[in-house]
Amino acid sequence: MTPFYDLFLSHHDLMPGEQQRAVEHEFLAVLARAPLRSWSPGSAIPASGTRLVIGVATWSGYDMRLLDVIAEAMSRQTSGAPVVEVFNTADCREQRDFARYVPNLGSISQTPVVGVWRDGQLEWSGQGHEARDRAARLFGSGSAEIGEYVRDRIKARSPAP
Amino acid sequence: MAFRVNLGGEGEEAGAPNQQGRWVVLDPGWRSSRTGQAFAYLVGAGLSFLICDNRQLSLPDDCCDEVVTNPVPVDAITHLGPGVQTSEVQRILKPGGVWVHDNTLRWVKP
Repeated sequence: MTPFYDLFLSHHDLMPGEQQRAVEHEFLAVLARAPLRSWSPGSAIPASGTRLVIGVATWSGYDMRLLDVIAEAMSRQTSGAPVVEVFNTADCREQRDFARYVPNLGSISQTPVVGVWRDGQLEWSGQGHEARDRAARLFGSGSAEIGEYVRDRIKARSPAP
Repeated sequence: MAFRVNLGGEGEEAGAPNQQGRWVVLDPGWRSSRTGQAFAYLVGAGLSFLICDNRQLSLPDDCCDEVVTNPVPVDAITHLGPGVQTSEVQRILKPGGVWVHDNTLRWVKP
């Protein structure tokens, strides 16, 4: 099951800007069907266990694949799984808005944005390639595998030479 | 020889100018999304960059045979400012030029 990457590939009959708006519009519905939580500032932070907050761009195939990897792993885990909370980086209109989701990030120029909490304390935060790798490794994958998946899907969609 | 340009997004390409916003140069922590490499490393590896605003690409009208946009916001405003603009893509393409977005042909300039 690859609901997030499938969403990313959907609506390709539209012009790119219109397609991205359609994908973004449907993102929360896909997220609601996954074993992941939507998180917004003000929601409670669990006081125990591992908590992962991931900010994704719905126009990024890499970010959507990361969510598929995590959702698939979460659906297999029965106990001791981290709490995974997701937000759309489009909700951050300015740099300072990110601090309301994940502190200590500095200037954000890449997605995903990731924060890892253990027992209520922020342990790590980062962005881009490094953050994707960090989050994926918690679920038995990595940035290289995600890149490979995206490349393979691109090849599968490309016309034969 | 066909002129191809890659506008923003994830995945810089060899053999084409890679347009990016100023943050690529101004933010020392910037890393390429696909490979995690620094701007200086990519330049050293031979990739060429075109640093300019998405609303005003520093390219003339009707100059490109192909515009490539890998995952990148289009016609949206993010915390970094305006993303790739459809109007700019359409301006810089030659008649008959193509816009390939996420590796799919999306538009041919009449």
